[in-house]
Amino acid sequence: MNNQKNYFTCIIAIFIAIGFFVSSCSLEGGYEGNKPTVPADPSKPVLFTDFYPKEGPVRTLIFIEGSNFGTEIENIEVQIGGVSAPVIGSSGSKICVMAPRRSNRGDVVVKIKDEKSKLIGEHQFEELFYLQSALLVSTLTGKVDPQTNSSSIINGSFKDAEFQNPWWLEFDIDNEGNKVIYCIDSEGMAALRKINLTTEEVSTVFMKGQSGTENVKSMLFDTPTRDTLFFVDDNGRGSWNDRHQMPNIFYAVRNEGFRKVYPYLYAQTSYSAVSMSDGSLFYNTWTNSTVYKAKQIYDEQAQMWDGKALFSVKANSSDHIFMFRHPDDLYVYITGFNGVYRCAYDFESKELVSSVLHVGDIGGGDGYVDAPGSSARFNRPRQGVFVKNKQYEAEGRADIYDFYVCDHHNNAIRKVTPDGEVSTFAGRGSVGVDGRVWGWIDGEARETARFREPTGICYDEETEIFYVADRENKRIRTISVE
Amino acid sequence: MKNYILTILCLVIYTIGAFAQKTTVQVSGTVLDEQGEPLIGATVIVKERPGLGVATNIDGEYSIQLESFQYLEFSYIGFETQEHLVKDQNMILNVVLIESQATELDAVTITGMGPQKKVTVTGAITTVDVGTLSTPVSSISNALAGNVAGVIAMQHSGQPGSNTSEFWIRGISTFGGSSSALILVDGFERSMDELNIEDIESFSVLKDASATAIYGSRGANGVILINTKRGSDGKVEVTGKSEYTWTTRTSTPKFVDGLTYAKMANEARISRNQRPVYNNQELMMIDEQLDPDIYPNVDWMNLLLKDGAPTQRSSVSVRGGGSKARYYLSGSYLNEGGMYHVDRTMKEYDTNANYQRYNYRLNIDMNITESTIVQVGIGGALEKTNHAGASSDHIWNSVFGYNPITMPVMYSNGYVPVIQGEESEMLENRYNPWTVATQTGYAEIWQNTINSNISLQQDLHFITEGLRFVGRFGYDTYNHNFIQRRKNPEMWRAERQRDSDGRIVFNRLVPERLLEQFSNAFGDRKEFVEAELSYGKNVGNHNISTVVKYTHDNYVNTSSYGGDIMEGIARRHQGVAGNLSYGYMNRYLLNFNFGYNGSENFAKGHQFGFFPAYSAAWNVAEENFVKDNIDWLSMLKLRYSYGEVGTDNSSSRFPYLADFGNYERNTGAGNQSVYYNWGDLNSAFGYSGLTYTRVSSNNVTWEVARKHDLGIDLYLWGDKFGLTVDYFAENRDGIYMVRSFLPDMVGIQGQNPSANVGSVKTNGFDGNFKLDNKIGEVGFQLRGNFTYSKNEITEADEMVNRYPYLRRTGYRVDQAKGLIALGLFEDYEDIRNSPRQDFGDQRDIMPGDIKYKDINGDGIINNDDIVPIGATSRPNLIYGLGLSANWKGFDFNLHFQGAGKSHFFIDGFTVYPFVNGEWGNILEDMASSNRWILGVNEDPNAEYPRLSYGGNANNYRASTYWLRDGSYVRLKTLEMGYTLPKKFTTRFYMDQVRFHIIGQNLLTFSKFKLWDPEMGSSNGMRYPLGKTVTVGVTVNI
Repeated sequence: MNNQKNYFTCIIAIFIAIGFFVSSCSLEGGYEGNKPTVPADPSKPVLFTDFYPKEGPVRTLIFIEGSNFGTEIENIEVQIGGVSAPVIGSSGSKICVMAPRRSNRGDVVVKIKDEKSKLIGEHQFEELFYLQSALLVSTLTGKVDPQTNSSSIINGSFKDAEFQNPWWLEFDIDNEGNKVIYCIDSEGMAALRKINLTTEEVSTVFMKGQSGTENVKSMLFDTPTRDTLFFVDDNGRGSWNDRHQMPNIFYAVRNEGFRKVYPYLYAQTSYSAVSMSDGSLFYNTWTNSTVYKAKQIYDEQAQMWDGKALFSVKANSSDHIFMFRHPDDLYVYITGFNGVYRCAYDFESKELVSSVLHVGDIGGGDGYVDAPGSSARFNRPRQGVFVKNKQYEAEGRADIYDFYVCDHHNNAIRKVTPDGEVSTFAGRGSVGVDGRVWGWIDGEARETARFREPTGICYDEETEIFYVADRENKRIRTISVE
Repeated sequence: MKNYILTILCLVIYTIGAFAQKTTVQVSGTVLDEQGEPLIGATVIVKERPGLGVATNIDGEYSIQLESFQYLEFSYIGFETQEHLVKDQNMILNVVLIESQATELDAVTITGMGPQKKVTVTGAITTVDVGTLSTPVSSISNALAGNVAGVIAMQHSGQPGSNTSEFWIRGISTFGGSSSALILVDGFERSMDELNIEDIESFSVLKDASATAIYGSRGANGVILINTKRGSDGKVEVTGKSEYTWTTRTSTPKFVDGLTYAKMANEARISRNQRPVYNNQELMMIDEQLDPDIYPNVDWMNLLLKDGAPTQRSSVSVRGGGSKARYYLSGSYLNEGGMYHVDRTMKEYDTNANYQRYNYRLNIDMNITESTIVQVGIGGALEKTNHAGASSDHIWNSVFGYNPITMPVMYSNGYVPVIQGEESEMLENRYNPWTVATQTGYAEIWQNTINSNISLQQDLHFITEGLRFVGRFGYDTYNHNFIQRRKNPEMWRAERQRDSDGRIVFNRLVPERLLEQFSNAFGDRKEFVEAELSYGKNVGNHNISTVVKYTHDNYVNTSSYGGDIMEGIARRHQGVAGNLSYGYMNRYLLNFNFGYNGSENFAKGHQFGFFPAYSAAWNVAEENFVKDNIDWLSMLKLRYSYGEVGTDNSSSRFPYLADFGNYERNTGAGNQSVYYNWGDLNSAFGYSGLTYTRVSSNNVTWEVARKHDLGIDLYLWGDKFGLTVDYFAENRDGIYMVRSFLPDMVGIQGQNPSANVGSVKTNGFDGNFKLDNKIGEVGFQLRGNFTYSKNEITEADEMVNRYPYLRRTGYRVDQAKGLIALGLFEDYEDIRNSPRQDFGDQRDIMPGDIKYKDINGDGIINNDDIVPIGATSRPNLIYGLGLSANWKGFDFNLHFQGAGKSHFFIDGFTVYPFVNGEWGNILEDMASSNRWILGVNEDPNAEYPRLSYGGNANNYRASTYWLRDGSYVRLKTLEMGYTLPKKFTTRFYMDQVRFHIIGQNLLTFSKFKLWDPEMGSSNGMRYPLGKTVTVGVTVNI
């Protein structure tokens, strides 16, 4: 009887035990905050074995191997060539740092501190880090509120200045010898900004309300004096009959600091113009993408000069198109219809001759393809700039300029050679799993860097630096060899 | 007046006095069985004096005091109850109880006409032992598959609060309106999902036309009859049951780790001549976690899900009464926990999924007069569901979508990462799994159901013997309340690279959303009236019975239709049904049923339909030549029935009514009103034209099912072996559907009318068997059942096609269709020598891509080569096999359940690797399978084709390559119980105490491994089904 009782108790105990086992299964888990860092152990020696790679351009990730580094990056200090290198992470036995600028001296010094910020290990590697030169994209100026990704028209030093949506750039050297970039801030010109590269300051030349302009799409210096700055206005007057209603080109002059804006021409809506070395001015309009030569026919009734229609860039098609003069007046490139068109200049008649497609889709289709001629694809190419290629010069070619153009919706700077080879010069780097190619990433021009809808570009021939109006990043970027 | 009160007072005092005058006697004795063994715990009660009773002790002895001239009732489970009159002196009363001899032949089947002896049933009815359904599941629907012959069921999700099974009686036989069965609880149409399983007394499934004819229109898809427990006269019986369940998952999809993912992403790009995503340095950083902000490695599934979740269930019921009134009272509580981790820093509310239910039920039967019984039943349920602010679908979409290396759980500066999002949009399903499950607020749903019914049974024997009247009235209300409190934190995404100072560049993608509230509520009301007149008489060997029944029901759902008058009108049915049956010596049975039903959803003249059903049965075993010669044949019955049933389950309300409105045209940017302009150019002065916005469908009427059923019932050696098999065939005609192929010249602008045009043919088998035996002291039962059903569309509104296999006609309802894959291309030679595959750019087709069969032989593979493959995602075969045994106090139950004849396509971003780029995790099974790898494993029969990044139009489409067999067999239930010996329990004044441990879904065998095949999910993105272990105790006092 007693035995039996024990036996029942046993069974009950088993059931209860199962119950406890079941209910005691872990309820812990989920996200428990960031992984806690492990400090370096002061009682143990800090060992340094090696670092790699031994060479690379700025921003190269360098890995330092050893042991007892701790994982708290605040307590790790790395200097390369005497310049403090940003510490990215540490696993305790491996430190990841980024090669900083101006670290040419190349000596690698690592300091490890313990929890109480007491130095417990320091080492200088015998081998040096060799800083290689590379084509890099950097950020010149433009502050953005990361919270809202917004910015405004704010003047000041390069550190503080803000841009609304930098759209179009022209490089200039002012009367004092300062290197200057004029920038149309936001498409339509909310303001003309002046970026002084010498004093590293951004100022506003005038606001839209002060200028009397409607919707400025581009600007250009006159050739050859560069004393006049023309603003080409999309005044919205598409029809020939409305041509005298509003100006389509304004101008400002250097000795007034380009501060005052005057009407220059009354004609149909225009997006861009070119001024040839002989002073003749050409502009385009929406309807049938016609190119006009300015001030050719006098309208007695209106007592105004009208332009002379020369040709359609693309027959029966209309688009926002932009014209760029070859520095030797050999031809004019026209970006638009997702391609680059070329029209030769007739020095005798002083007129542009009808256009041919240089690169891009003949049908105007968009895309992103690096290929020669009509196999190449663009997506809204905007401002471009001619840059002298020293190799062509050495080869004694007739045309020694390459054309670098902002491929707006492809988020890249494309390079077009005189032979019609199209390649990507900068942008669309660091392709990740998301396949995204736009963003704000500095670094190696092709491998790493990204732009976000770049539209304006200019070039300083002396320093060989490209300046890019990175519209949606609201910043001015540079592309140069460092 | 005062006199009256005095008189009454006197009367009361007199009555009390009269009681007092009765003498009290002492009765004692022993209760033994036929072998002379004492029966321990046998119940001894005074008849009709509830509460007055004792139980025998371990020696079978009892002693009771009672008033003289009362009946003592002796009862014990498994034994015949005995009554003994006690006179006015003390006595010793020794009783020998005889084991009860009730067999299956005396068993009662609950039919539409009420309880009926099994031997006389002519229709196809499955009655289920409620005990086998009584498993620790929240809804009884989850216990149907494999337990009930004739029911095909599947459970789609394991989420608390929405984990009920969908089921069909004898499969699906229509593609028009509803295909779900009619569920009657205590005679009224009610949901069984919120029913407390312990309250169920009987559960029957009516399958053929003769059984369901009495329900007329509503029974076309079969009927489930559930009766709840009622009181019984006798000792007060209190039953309590408490269970604790630990729920884990039958199958959780497993995903690859960060390094494997990164390497496969590289492989996918390299194998399609694209640049790899990660260089070796980055792979190392992922592996060693040197930069967990930019190169994280997160196991999202593990982060989101706990190992398991607890469920508690308790119920208590009281049952008793006397001959004048009987009652059954019960209450139960269920708390089902969810498996999501919660943010423990948040104390104010719970984001985990949770389902709680309170049930109560009170059934009272009163004998008002000798021949009148009034039954009142009130039952109800309060259900509370809690879940995260974002829906469960969003959570599962996110946990399958986030790959391990795109996002950390939290950036090191505390920013919340998000993969995608715009300032203006709330892309909840793109929030990271941790955010979506824990940081989006919470939602509460509560539902309240009250069922009440009253019925009056009047025996009209004073008119003629056997005449009976039953009137029933039911009134149900239901309301559903939903309140959601939504919020989300500010969310960011880091740029792919740091800036030159080593800082992370963040972009804010989603702004913070403070707690906002959304709520809604709706409710409905149902009323039913039934009046039934039945008559039954035995004249010699002839047995005649007849029933005539009038029904009327009314259903209103008022709150969610806004200004829609048509939807606001109550849905009504009206009908007369009848039954006439004749039996000769229980040997030859004939039965005629009819339903004459009306639905107000149809135009006048089409509202009423007459649906007759005939059935007959021949009880071979009752024939003398059998009775005399084959004594082991207890019952052999052949049954056949034929009948018509109609259904009015059309989706639209009042299809016979037309509607008018202003002419609108779809301009691509939504519907826009088009008008005639009577003003000038640029100066509109418009008037819209009036047009039909709905064309009336005057002739729409009943969808009619013509059902045949041939069955056999066989019992051998009493009820030791039983077998029932039914063959059924059904033609469903006049399936309601919109005419979609009218030419434009008819001029009704796409407002196509509906008609009864479709036809479906269904046939199949169902059956069950059981074998009871006792070897020594071990009693065991083996039982099994199966249901197989196949349907075929014989007519559908569709265009003529030169390829018959492109049509729906001739194939199953919801037939899976796709291309036939011939494996993978071996090399470029193989591609050149094969028919052209017209999916995507043909130049993109490479070795390792899927090769398809050219069905029509035109040398081109396109949509014309899509043929029916496999079956449907619903199983067409369900079977179950169970074994139970008992020995002394131990009992053991094993139940296997399986499903077959089901196929489904797998697709989506977890199955098609990298189809959406970074969105979509990679299944571990896929990574480690025999997949095609360039230069490593170029097997043309590999399980997965050549990887591609960002989708592949050729590979990723429905074909046999992606068709999976959904059949499975699982150990559905494994139960062990132990009942404490009476000797022990009686000391604690308890009748019966049983401990049990139940495992559910412990093992699943299936060819398909990625997730639980029962869900029938193409992408597995659902809350997994539960694998549970339950411990519980039942106490009977």
